[in-house]
Amino acid sequence: MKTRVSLGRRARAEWREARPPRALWPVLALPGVGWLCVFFVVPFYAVIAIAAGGVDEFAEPVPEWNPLQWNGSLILDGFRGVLPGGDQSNAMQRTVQYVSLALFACYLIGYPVAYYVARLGGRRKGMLLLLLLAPFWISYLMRMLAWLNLLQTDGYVNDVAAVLPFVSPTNWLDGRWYTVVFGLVYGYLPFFVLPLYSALDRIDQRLIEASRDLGIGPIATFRRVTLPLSRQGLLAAGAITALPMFGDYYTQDLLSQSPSTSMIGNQINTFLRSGASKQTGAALVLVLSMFLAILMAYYLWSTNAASTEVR
Amino acid sequence: MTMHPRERRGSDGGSGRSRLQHARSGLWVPGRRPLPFDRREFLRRSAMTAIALPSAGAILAACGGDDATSNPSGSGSGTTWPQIDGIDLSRPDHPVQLPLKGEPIADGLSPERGPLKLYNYADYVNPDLIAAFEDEYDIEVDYTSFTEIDEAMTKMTSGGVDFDIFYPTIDRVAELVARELVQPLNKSYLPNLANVWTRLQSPFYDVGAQYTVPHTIWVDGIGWRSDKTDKLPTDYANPWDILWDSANRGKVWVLQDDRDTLALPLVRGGDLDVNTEDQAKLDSSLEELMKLVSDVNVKVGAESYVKVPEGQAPIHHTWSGDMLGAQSFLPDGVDASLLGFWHPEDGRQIIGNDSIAIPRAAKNPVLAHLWLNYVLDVDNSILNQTWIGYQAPLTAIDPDRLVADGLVVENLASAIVREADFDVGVQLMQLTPAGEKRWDTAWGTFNGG
Repeated sequence: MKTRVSLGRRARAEWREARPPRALWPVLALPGVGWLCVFFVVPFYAVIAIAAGGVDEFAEPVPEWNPLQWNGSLILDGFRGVLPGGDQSNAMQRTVQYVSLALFACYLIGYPVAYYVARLGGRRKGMLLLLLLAPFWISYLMRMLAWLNLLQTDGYVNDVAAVLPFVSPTNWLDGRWYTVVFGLVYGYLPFFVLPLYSALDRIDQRLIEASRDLGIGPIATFRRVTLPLSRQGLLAAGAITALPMFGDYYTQDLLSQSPSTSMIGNQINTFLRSGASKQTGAALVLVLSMFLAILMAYYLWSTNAASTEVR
Repeated sequence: MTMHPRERRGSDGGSGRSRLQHARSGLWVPGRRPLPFDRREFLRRSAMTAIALPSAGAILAACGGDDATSNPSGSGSGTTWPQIDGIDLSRPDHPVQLPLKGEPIADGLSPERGPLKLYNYADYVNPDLIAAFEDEYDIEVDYTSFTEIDEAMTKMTSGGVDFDIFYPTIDRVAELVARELVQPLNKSYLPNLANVWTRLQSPFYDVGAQYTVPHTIWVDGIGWRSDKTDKLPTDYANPWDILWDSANRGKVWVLQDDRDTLALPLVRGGDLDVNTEDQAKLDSSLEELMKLVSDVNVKVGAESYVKVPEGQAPIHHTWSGDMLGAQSFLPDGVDASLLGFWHPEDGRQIIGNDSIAIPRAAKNPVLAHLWLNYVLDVDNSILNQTWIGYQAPLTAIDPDRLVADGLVVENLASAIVREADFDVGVQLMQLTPAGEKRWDTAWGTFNGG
């Protein structure tokens, strides 16, 4: 007994000697913290300072760095603006609708793709993964510009539509909401599939086999085993996709250019490029950030709850 | 947000160098078609024109009145003229001599060795003109482009740039002077300023041309491709109504420019108070523009010189210079005769000119003066026009000869600007900060649909 105690102490002492000094852990976090400070905290603070600051004699914003001197009226106007009846309510409402539809389409298209690659890809998994990553080799802008040509009235899409029974040639670029939603889906689908693939790939095959061994059919196994275990992946994919979609403006700019399809990102772009309304643009950035922070909080709460369930 | 016709020229990634290099090496530049004559031939014709014809524009200018006046506040004649940082807002009926800040360079200095740094809208100078200047002075020209004037002003005010030449819109000249970002010009280097229309040798926004020389001219109107639209502006009692006709749903575009487009309903209704800061007028304009959204699903664009010839934008509220430039962007199989442009025949319209200035931070101020003088040379101005489309306001260039000389197709003759047009038309000028805010807010609401 005495010997065992002695060994335990020695082992603990050896571990204490071997482990890195306590001060190392914060040092390891420094690059990330520094990065966040320089590229997120400071710029975000600057946006607040501009939105709550003043303007000079040429109407250019003058940031107010002292929080005690902040004027929050423009930020409040920004919040009022996106509420029903506000100047930006149409754009905000449209943004929520477009992103919701695009996200729904991503789930419909992306889940089967990710499932196939992760669960049924077999030896071709690497190649399929490569194909999934292929769109990243081409810039988003170039992909959208390619669609601009394809969707023209005399483009290939209408050539195909002419021979199909359920669609007819259309002026797709005529300021139509579904073209913008399509653009969002096309542009962000790879971002959706990859995290979902990663989550599905990690599901323990033995759990599925156990379900089948217990006499559960494939559909019920999918519903009661695979789907619940992919919940975190679905949430992560949804969050990663939805967040940039909410701030997207270039898809609308390229595929529509109509005010009837403007999203909140377009409005931010319009105001930030203006001479005297950069403050309004900054306020809208804060409004959008707050809105996305709520969504992120829900995502974190959901994933935390899911982790708790698993434990 | 004040934008400029060249803002819709698009960006080539922030620098025009690659495009210039293509032009110098004689490689094909995507999207650009050569004009149907060479430079030598055009210069020959123009020189003959200049000799043969006196400036009709100057004569008309002497005869014409000036009802293109507009009070900055839009509220009648006030006791205090609106200012920006102590400088009166300039108007044709209220010329402003800008305060002299700094000293011009001395006479007779030798040019520096460059490189001469130009800061300008994309595609706003003929690469051949730049190449010729480089050859003449044995220096290099570094062309940096911007896409909108606000972006350029932000960069200029940042203090981190040392451009030798800057191309501002005229409504920003007073601000540039107030901020001490430009330097006074030494006219002894600018004998070619005498080539410019008399009125622009001492323009109302910079009396005595202390800081700027003029660049190009244009009017607002409607461009179209006739095979893509059933009706033309001239089919309507008020041609502007073509933009509001629900029969043209999906075909109508307006300029991505808050000033031109928000002023459009005013001009349509015969109100030329386009520099108004009256909220009621702006609300009324906004209401009319919102009808464009609901009735014709209007689109907002900045590339009419490409989209009209390609047929993507059958009817486009645009600038005359863009439509002249559109001749160079016709797809294969599309004839220039399909292009058209209308602007108010009575001249009650928006009209404008651009300017060139030398920043205070210029490292090659002598060379910069030489550049200004170079582009005001008649032959060089014509050479520039053959590539960019926009006209230069020089007395030796006779607008009535442009069609005959083959520079403009006959069906685009209406896009040619004459000096007399400036007697009646109104220019979009600097607003007070409060006024600009109102315009921006209305523009944001329109863009939000």
